[in-house]
Amino acid sequence: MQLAKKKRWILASAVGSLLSTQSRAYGADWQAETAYRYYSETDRVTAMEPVLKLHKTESDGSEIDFSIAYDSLSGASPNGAAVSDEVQTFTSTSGAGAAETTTAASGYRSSRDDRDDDDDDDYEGDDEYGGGVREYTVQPGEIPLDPDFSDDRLSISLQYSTPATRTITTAIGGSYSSESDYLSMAINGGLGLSFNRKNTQLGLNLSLAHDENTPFGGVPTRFSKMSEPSSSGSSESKTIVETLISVTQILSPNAVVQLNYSAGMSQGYHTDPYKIITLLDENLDILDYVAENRPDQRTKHSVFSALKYHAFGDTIDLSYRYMWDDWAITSTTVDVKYRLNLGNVFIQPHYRHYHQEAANFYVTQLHSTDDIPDHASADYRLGTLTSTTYGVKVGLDLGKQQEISFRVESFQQEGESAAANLDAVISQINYKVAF
Amino acid sequence: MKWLLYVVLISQITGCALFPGAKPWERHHLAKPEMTFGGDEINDGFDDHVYFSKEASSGGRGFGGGGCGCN
Repeated sequence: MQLAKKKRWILASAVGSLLSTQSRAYGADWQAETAYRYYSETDRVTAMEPVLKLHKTESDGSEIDFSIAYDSLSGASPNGAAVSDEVQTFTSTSGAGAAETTTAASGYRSSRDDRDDDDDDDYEGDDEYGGGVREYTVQPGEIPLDPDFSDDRLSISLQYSTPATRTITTAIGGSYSSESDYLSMAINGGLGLSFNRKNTQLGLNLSLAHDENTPFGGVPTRFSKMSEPSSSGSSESKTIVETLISVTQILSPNAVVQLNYSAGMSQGYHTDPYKIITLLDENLDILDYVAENRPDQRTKHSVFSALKYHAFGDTIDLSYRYMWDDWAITSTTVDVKYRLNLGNVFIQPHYRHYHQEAANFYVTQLHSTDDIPDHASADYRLGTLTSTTYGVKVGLDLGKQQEISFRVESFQQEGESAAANLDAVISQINYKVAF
Repeated sequence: MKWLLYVVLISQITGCALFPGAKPWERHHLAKPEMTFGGDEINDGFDDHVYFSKEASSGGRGFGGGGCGCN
């Protein structure tokens, strides 16, 4: 019975369900898990995100997952302009020059409150235009941050998987995410095939998503100047098709490994409408700021491998990902977790290292004496970048199929742009119960 | 000597079996959530969202497409 209870904890998404070869408990049981995360960057963005997830396993082995999450964020965010030895003044009208959204919940709103997380920035504004006209200044040597943005995001997802035969599982799902200036809808489907006495599982998954971007003040015309703002419309969209092929192999009673290949193609608007680029004149003085422009297509590939190994009563979780795309971005990610089980308590240190090479259209500034490029962005997230995460999670089995856990992590970034230097703290509390 | 270390490590992970796998009655460790891919979905989802909004890469263990305007 204890084993059956533990099995009931198995929570997996539709994709996760299909990728798993492990046993799962059948029985009409519910599991609920709720979590609250607080994400805080030094002098920048703060985000709060509560989430609720419900899972039900039917007696025939079918599984239903429902989750709902709400994000609320505010703070200061890099606008893309380069650091200067002069005082810089930014005006945001048509969207060009406004701040972007850089954390878990995203989007930008020309909010009228007086939040200002950076003492070096001054805020002035009026509401002549629909998107709001704002002006703020950045002191010499300071990273240009738009000091004032906030947004809320609501996301919902529903997944359903069911065994078609003893060795075939099918899954279908959908998700919806809404922000004040962004809407995303996605559907997915998948097929899981078990063989080799269920020691091997092949997963085939497909996802289709459609995103609608409605920037405040309209979509800035590509490379339009901040001093002469113009808009090319009120909204843009993109469509994303992704496929994921997965092989999961049980190696022994104590080890299981997974190898995934995924490919995705997105078509449409990839530009961040709130990002700008510094434009320099022939004397290398600041002439103006222009709206960025990214390619309207991106094809990504990734290979992901993971190993879970049970040893000495503990669990080791290793994963590696290599990603490449047609923007010339390549990245490697290594993630290590070690779960130390101490009776009803577990302690799980975590380390993650990420490194990426820059996109081929990444720039730190543009020069008025050069030809206008087809594509350019000064978004530090497209430049050479290294991220490091380390932290620990502590969990307590409360009995009666309840568990509570706490997580604290440090997230740091550095890159070729000054804006890439970031320190953040992630703290989170989880509670889950089966009934 | 490094090859010997690899041999020992691999044999430990695979349980010294010629054909890797486990019998149904040997899977009690594998049934634990922490040994299940997707068994900590809320944490994985939080992390994917943060990294999606802060880095140019996404996905790998699952779909990494759109979903928000943060990147």
